[in-house]
Amino acid sequence: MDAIVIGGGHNGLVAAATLARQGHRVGVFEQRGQFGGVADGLLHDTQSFSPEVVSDLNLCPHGLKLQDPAPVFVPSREGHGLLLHRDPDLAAEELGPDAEPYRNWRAFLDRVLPFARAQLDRTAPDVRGNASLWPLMKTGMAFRRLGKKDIHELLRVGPACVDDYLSEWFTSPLLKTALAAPALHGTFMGSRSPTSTATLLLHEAQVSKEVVGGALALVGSLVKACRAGGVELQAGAEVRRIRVEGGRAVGVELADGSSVDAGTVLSCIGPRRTLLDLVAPEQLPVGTAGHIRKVRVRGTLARLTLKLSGPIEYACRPGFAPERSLVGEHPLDLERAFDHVKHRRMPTDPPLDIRQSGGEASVLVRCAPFQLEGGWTDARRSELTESVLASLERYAPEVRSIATVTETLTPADLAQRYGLEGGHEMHGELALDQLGPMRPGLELSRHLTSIEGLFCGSAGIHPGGGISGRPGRLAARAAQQG
Amino acid sequence: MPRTTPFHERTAALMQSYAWKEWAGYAAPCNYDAHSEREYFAIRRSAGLIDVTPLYKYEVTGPDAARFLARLWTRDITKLKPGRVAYGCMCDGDGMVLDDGTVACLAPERYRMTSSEAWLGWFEQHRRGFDVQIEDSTDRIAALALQGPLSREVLRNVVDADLDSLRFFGLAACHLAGAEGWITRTGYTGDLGYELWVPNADAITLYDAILEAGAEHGVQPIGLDALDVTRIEAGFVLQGIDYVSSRSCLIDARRSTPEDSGLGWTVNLEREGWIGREALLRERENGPKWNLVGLELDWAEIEDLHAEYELPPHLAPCACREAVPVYLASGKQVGQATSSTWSPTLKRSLALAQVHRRHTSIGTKLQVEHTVEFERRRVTATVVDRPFFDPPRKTSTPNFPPKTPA
Amino acid sequence: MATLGSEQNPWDAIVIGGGHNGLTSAAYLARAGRKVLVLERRHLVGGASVTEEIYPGFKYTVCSYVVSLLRPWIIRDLELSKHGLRMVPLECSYTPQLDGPGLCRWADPDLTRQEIRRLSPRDADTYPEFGKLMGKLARFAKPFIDEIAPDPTSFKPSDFLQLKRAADRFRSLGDDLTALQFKLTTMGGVDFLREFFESDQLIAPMSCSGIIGTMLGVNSPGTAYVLLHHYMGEIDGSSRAWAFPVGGTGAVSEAIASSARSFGAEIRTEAAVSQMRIKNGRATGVVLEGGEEIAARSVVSGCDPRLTFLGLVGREHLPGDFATSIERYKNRGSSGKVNIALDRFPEFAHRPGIGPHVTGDVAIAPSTDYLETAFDEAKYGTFSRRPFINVVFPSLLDRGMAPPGKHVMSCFVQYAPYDLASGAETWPEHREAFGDAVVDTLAEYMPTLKEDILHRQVLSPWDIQEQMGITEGNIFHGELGLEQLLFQRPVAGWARFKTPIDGLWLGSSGAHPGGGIMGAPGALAAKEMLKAGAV
Repeated sequence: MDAIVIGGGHNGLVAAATLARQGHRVGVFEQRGQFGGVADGLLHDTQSFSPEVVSDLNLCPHGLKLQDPAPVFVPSREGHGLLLHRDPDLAAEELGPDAEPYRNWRAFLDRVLPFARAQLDRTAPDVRGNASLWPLMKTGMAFRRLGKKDIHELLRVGPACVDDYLSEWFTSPLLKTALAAPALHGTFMGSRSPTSTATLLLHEAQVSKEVVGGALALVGSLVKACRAGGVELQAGAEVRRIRVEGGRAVGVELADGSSVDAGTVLSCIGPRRTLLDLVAPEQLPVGTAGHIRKVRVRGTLARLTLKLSGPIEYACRPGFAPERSLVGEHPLDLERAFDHVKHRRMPTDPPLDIRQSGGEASVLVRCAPFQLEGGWTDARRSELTESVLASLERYAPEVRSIATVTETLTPADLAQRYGLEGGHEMHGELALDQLGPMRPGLELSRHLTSIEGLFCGSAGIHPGGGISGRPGRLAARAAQQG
Repeated sequence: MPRTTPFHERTAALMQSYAWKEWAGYAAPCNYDAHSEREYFAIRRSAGLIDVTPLYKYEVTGPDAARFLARLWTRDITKLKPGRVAYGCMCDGDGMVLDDGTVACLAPERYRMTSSEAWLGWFEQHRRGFDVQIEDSTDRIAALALQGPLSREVLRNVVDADLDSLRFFGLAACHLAGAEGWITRTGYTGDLGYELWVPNADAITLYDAILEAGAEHGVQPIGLDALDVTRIEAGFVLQGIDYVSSRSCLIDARRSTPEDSGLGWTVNLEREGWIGREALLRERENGPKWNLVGLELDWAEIEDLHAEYELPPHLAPCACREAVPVYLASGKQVGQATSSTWSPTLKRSLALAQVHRRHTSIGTKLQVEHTVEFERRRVTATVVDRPFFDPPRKTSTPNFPPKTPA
Repeated sequence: MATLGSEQNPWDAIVIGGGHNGLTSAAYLARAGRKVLVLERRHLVGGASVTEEIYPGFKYTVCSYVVSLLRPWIIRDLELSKHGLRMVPLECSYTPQLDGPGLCRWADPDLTRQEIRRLSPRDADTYPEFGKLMGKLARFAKPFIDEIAPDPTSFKPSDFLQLKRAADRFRSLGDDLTALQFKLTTMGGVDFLREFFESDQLIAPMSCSGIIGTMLGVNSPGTAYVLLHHYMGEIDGSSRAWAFPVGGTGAVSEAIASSARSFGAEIRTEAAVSQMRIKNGRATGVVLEGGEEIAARSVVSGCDPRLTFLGLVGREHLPGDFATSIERYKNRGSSGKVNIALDRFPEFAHRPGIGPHVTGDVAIAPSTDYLETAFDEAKYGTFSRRPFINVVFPSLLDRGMAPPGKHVMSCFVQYAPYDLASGAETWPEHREAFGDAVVDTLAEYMPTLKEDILHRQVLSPWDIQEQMGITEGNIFHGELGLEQLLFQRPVAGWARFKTPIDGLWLGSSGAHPGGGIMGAPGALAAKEMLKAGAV
């Protein structure tokens, strides 16, 4: 084999397919019985998936269909809730007085985000002391081309909290909540945390089209692309060690004791697990190990799967069953939810991120602390289920009569099932010090490790993100360049 | 405020001079008498008893204990057999020395290390991936050193280990004055000597037993001043004096590699996987900048210098820890002498010095600053072999190699 | 010759506000031979840096209570020692616990390590290493507070050169420190400290420095960098970076005022400026309450940016973008002050006596959860029922602050949000309840406290605004968030003390480099005016 990919999550599949298209013989080793990682039964939004990957891997002929992201409905206890489209024209009617600011805000984003997007689709800049200054200056010049006014604005708002920032633009709490909620995905922050505006902009930069059929359809077409490229896909194959000889990766050792040789090893599981657990500590420079050990991975995600006898409807807008909805009607609801996380408490009235289709709903809770006081037990899991239903019931009073909870995954369950350290779906919190060249360190953010032939390409590496495929693509490219 | 060791009740009672100093947070005697001459000669002629409890002690146990220690230390601890002790140093990722000390293999998967500074934080940083437990046993285990030509004779009546077979850098688990503990043939004096390790509760019993057994041999309690003279004679470096732990250096230039600090012999660059190796491989390519050498000061010149002021030279066995510049004859500074002393046994004036690599070959003539009556002068110093004092008794063992019956 | 201040004979410069920064500006301008007039609304100079005998015989350091970063070059330039400035270093930082001895961090690093060893041997080992790293970063950061902040978007050669120097310094740190510097500027204090330490009892008091005067919690990103301030004075991990001026912080103001007078500046108290005189977009002097007009070639404001621009200048004279930016500028007072006169010293339950442990500052910060909970309450518009309190006993540092045997106690309290849920103007109704919360909290640690109190002065941020004239009572004239620092303080592009109004300069804590009794904004503003030939 030319290359081994550890982990058959979305990034692993992207990396494998990318390498295979270049004619490499690639094997993917996935510990679980299925491929897709967190795209398989955990995260449900695909709107961050990279268009570059779609075109690089030629996914559309493999049956992938894209569409504009579905609008998000935010129910309210008074009034009629808010159905928010990304397109300001479509959104205008619901937004009332905020329609004009929303249009202006989108226009501002359209000006500044192409720069950010370009950074997401390329390797993080090398800011190490011995690196060439030229690429850095080029990036700097591109940034300056945004113009003084927009730069000043970005530098001013980036460090601010998303609640303050959105309040400068909008009055409707529902709108602010709808925009602020995704800014907090994968972070350890609330809506009042400074720098959450930066993660808002990061999120907005990633959004493009979503996959028809959702995450599972995406995984399906990635698997197809891999097969078409001759990738050997092995499920139920847990890698126990990355074998290193003379400072060079030479293959892996599997849990069953067998060894596989390859000149290139590309790890698409979390960087902490890759370097701290799979690589013998003696093989790792002490500085690298030091950085990696400090990467923060405090998970806050939990998920309920509901089987529905009828669609979830909200009392504020009867007869309307939105595909996507967001429970939480004030930015401070997001902050209160984070208070629970911070104090390691079971959330009460948690904000919910819901996606329903085909008689099933996926409910994501983003304020369930991995480090719950006293730890996660079966009883605590039931408590979480109850808390989520109670929260939803405030807006959809009928929910208990139409929905059966088929599964509740606590952060501890996620850690176990998906092999996520700290239960963190992105293998590392999104925070200014864990982004760009610092995700997760000055060398690793370029998908390289200090071990020759070993590359990293999970969401724990630049540019991070949910189901985006970007780190996998960039890692595969780094591997090709050696 | 310094704490007291488990021997304090006894050492305080013996203390005549009130000369205490702080050693790693403990109160430690400098000298029991008005000066340390008697104590010095006890070490070289009979045996001296030193409370070395303030050494930091760590118990490292578990299946990966040896691998873990081999990662941290310059010595390959995986090769260290039960019953043996290794001396070495630890480096940081830049190959700069953090500390020197010993690692003893008490049993398979069971090690005790000693150091001059506390390193629990450092261990914790590097622990992931190793199946080990680490315990700071500094406050739990009392340690005594009995050093000197008669130390073996004295201990015969105190410990039940086979002393005639216990080799240099060997270790034996045994009873010490009835208490379970360990004896190691190690020390900091360059003489025949042992270090004894017992739980705090047994400390006083052991102390009394040794002084009682040693009474007829002239055993003396010893303070740090006499120890300092003997360690210079033995050519041992002291962290914080002859080199500074890279952790404590405020500026990078102060840091030392093992070569710089005279610990190069503990390093095996061929062995892989220990912290600091990559950086030291680079150093080897470029050649180290410094080396630690032994210097012998020209006594006649010192006498002449003092004579100019109508003064006799100072002859007391007392080490000087204030670094003084080392020059070439041309006047160019090429290093500093970090420790120096008059050796009453060798009748020579000695110093340890960190000197530019180019000027370290044996026999090189250098100049060392020497102050008389507040005037800075220089005396000639010659680079000589270390250790200065190295008696055969230090390493010889009566029953080793084992005598085969004729 | 017409009198100074008339149209024919205007002052070279008028300084609005006799706070320590205004006085510093005045001293520097007068020292350069300019004719300077300082106008102070109150009956005494000092602003938030005053000592007042509120209760007979007891001198309160009413607002600010310690000095940390007063720039050494200002002390030298203005000869403040000659003008009576004496500082007593704080020897200890004590964090009591309800159920144990708590933690003392001493000026002596070895003693501190011994204290920490009780909490965590690991942390004791790491503490000196942490100090060393911070010392290196502090040396990198220090120049930023002593010079004008370069604008990264500017194409001016001077900005470019300054940026290049900073970039070179940055790269010379090496990759590990570069990464650490980045973390320090963006991370939350607690998260940053957890990279080094495990003991919450150690992390909590260390993290406090990052929240002082801000409406942020110890976990909020961006609060870590203030840790550096502790290492700018000293580099061996000691807490000696703080000092108490003999005579209280008012003595600092008086020393600067005395220096300014010695250089020829005139200081008028009880002279409240009501508005700026602006002619053809140019500041030409001020109008006092009561109508008196005083003419000047230039005006320096020692007031906060919002009061200066929206209060004294008026929106109509400002470019629209600039006015909007000032409106968006976050003031956000978050702290209050309780000053107490004591009949006797209220000893701590777990470290009794009047020992060296109480001659520094005492921080009520038993855990990071405690601090975050205090912040949570403030976030939703109430004062903390169990607040973070930083206590200093000025009478132990300067016996002249209270009658013999008696003591004064200065309590800096957080959080007391200016914006109460019931409205900022309702503070007078909540003031005493807030004072009670502070005393109740302290009495848990000092059992006899309540019996020992002779008098108590409670200042909410509302009171600080009303009495000292600082908008929203923010002690630093505006949140010290990343977005309001360096070239963005107070507004991006206007961080060089110059303002959109010709002849008007900003030299207060609301200008770069920000708050604390540093004197740097005032001094740098004056130097910049002189350099520009504006005065």
